[in-house]
Order: sequence, then C-alpha cells, then structure tokens
Amino acid sequence: MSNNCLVASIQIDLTSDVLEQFRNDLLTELQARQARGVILDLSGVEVMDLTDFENIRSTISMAQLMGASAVVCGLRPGLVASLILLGADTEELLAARDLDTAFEVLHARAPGATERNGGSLASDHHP
Amino acid sequence: MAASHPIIIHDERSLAAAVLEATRVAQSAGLSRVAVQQLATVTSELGRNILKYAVRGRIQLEAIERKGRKGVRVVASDKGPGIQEVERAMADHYSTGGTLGLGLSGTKRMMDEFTVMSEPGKGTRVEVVKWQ
Repeated sequence: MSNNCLVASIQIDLTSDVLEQFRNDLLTELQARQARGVILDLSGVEVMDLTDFENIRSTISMAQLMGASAVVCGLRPGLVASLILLGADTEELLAARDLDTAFEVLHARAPGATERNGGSLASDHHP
Repeated sequence: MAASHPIIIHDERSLAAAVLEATRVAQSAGLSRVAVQQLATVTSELGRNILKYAVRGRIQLEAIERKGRKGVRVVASDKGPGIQEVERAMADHYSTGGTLGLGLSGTKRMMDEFTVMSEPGKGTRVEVVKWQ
C-alpha cells in the first residue's frame, strides 16, 4: 500500500559522503515504498555546520518533490543553538522533539502518511 | 596549559578529526553540553572555510585559563587568498562562494571572543575563545 511513512535515522558523524549516501538511500526507499511521509531522526547527530544543514535541507526538498511530507526530530540543544546563531534558514522545516511527536506532526500534515506499516532506514554505515 | 598539536586541515577527514578534538578539549575544560556543541560547530565552520577558500590550513585547539576561569581557544589559520573586505565578509548573507558570511558572523555570535585577521594574498587567521 502507498499509505506509509519512512523513518530515517542518522547516527554517525556527518560528512559529505555520509550525507550523499543517506540522500541516495532515502530517495530510493521513498520511491520503492511509495511513502507519503518521512521522519528524519537526527538525535544521534552531535555536530552540524551550515554546509551539513544545507545538504540535509536539499535532501528534504527532494523528498518533498517526490510527494512526501518531511519532519525532522530529535535535534540536540547545542546543535539547534548553533544552527540558529549561524543564521541557518530553518523556516520551512517541520520539526518535532522526538519520534512520537514527529508522527503526530506528520499525521496532522498528511494523515495518510501515518497509516499502516511503514519502513525504516538507518544510516549507520560508514562511507 | 599545553596546546594540542595543530591539526592540518586538508580534507573532510582531517576536518572531522579537528571537530572531534574540539569536542574533547571543550569537555575537559568543563564547558556545558550546549557550549561544547557550539565550539565543535564553530571548529567545523572554520575548517570548512579553510577547505573552501584556502584548500589547506591548520586548526589549533587549546584549553586556557584566565582569572580562574577555564575556556577553550581555537585558532584557524591558512595561507590562502585572504578576505578582501573583512567588514563585508562579516555581514550576514555576504559570501563570495558559499556560506562564509553567515558562518563568520554566526561564529562571532556564538563565541565569547572573536578576532579575524586577513591580508589579501597572504592568508587568514581567525581566533575564537569560549569561556566556561
């Protein structure tokens, strides 16, 4: 069925290789599962600079262009403070504090996305 | 306080090593968790600028102490093209190739002390301090 949501989690330090692999995996899975929603769990990310942020933001735009609503969750306090003080453009991002809340946010946005069995994608591979 | 050896920044791997070392030094200096992440992010931004504009440079991390207060100093230096107009480069949204404008002014906002010295054609040196 097409009514599902993909949970993607990044649990290792960000490099452009990691982010590129993550993007490829995510977009491929989105299409394969015909997912209508994606939750990016970034709770395992310690440091994100502007370049990493822009990279993730374009991945989110790509997911949206494939018809999926996207929510980021689990951003750590220091990471959030850094991004905002660095001037990162976060206005169009949907965010939630944890996975449960992310599902709620997604459900409010795209009710169909949170029904039925979803899939998950963990980016813990090393480049 | 002993300074750690400078880390030569020449690729993403060496940048990651500098970020990790920044985290370690900041933790041992007793910075709060948020401050540790900010210092690590700043180190990453400074290293990115080196890679983007100078291709090669160095980052030196040092635990410091002044009047009984602990802190961490990060010095990022390179012999790259330098910044033509530092004032303009510091302005938000100014950049000659990416995120430098945002990065530098944001770095200043996050740190307690910030100094940038640059001479066109000679290189750039950015020094920041975050106190406990």
